[in-house]
Amino acid sequence: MECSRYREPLDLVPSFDCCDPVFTPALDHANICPPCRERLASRLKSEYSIKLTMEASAPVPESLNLFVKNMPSEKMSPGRWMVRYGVIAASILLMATSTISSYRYWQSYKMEAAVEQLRLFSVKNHEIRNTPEFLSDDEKQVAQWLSGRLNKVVQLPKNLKPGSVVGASPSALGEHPVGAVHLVIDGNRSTLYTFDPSPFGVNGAVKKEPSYEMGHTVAAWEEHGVGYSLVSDAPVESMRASFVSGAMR
Amino acid sequence: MDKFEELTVPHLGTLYRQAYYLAGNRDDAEDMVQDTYVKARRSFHTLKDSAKCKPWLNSILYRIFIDEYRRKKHYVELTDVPAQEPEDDDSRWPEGVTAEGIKTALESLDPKYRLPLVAHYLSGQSYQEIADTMEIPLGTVMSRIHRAKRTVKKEFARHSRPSLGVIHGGRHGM
Ligand SMILES: [Zn+2]
Repeated sequence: MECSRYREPLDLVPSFDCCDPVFTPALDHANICPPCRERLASRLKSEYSIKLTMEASAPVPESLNLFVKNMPSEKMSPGRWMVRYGVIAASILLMATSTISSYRYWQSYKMEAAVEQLRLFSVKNHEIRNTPEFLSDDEKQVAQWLSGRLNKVVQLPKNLKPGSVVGASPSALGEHPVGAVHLVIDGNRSTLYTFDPSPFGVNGAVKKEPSYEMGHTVAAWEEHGVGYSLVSDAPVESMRASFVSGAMR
Repeated sequence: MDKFEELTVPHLGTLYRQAYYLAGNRDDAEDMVQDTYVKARRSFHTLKDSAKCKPWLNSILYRIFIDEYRRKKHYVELTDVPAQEPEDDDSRWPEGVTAEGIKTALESLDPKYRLPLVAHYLSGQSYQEIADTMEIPLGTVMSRIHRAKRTVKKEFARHSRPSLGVIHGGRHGM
C-alpha cells in the first residue's frame, strides 16, 4: 500500500528545522492520509520533547566557560607565540611527523591551560572567602587541622616565613577539594591553596613566578609532589620576601 | 573579546551538550570541548566564512570524537548493511523518558550511529549540514539516524518499567 512507501521518509521528517524538499511527497501523502498524519504528528511531538529534555540536562560547566574565555589570545603575534611556547614549538618542528610529539604538544598545551585554570579558580576563591574557619598561627597545627578536615595529609611549603600563617579553611578549586591556608603578607590578606596536582592533570607543570594579574599577585609552584597556588593582595616583591629562601621553591 | 571568542563562544552550549551525549559523562565531554576550542583556535585562520562557524566547530568536535573512538574503542567506518528489521510500529518515543535514560540508551549505540543522532537532536543542523560536517552522503546520514532511533527506542523498551508497555498500547517490535 501507499502508506508503507512513505513510512521511512515520514519517520525522518525532522520535528525542528523542517523541511527539505526530499520530504515533500511524503508530507503530501500525510496530508491526505489520516493514519499517517496522526502517526507523524505524535512522533514530532514526542521527539520535540526528547530534544528539550536533552538540551535542558547538560548545562555548560563553569570551568569550561572559564577555559574558553581565558584561552591565549589570537592577538599575540607569532613572535610572542614562539616565545611563550618556544620549547614546545621547537620540538614540534623537529618531530613534525611524529604523532607522539604532537600528542605531547597537545598534552603540554592542555597542562598549561589547566594550570591557568587553577590560578583563575584560586583568584576567584581568594576574592570570595575572607574568614578562616580555623584560626592559628602555628603552621603545624594548621597542617594537622587541614589534614583532618580534608581526610588526607596536607603539607605546607617548607620555606614559608614564620608568622605569616593566620588560619585555614577547606576550599575547592573547580570540583576538587583543596586546603586553603590564610596568610598575611606585609599586612595584606593572602590565600595559599595546597592541592594534589594529579586530579587536575598538572603533575610537574605547576610553575608560575609571582606576577601581578587579575588584580592580585599570583604564583603557583610544586614542592615534593604537592601543588601550591598563592594569591595575595601584597605586591610581587612582598610575596617573594615572604619565603625565607627568597624564592618560591 | 577578540574575533575568535565573539564567533565561537555562542556555540559553547551546543558543543558541550553534544559532547555530553556522545561521551556519556561530563568529564570526557569537557575534555572534548576543550580540545575542540584549542584546535579551533589554532586553525581559526582557515575559517574563511564566519557564517559557517557553527558547522566548522561541529566538524572539529565530531573528528575528535571519532579519533578518540578509533584510538580507544575501534570506531570503524563500515559500509552500512541494510537493516533487516521489522517495521517500526510506533514511531513515538516512550513517555516519561529522562535525560539519564536517553544517555544510557545512546551508550548502547555504535558510535557511528550515535554521532548523527546526537547531531540531529542537538546541533541545530539539517540532515544535509550534518552530512557535510561528517563528510558522508546525505542518504547515509538519514538511514543511520533512522536506525539509531529504532535501536534507542528498543533499548528504552528493554529497560523501562513494564507499565511503559501500556503507553505503547501493548505493541512490540518498536
Ligand atoms: Zn498513509
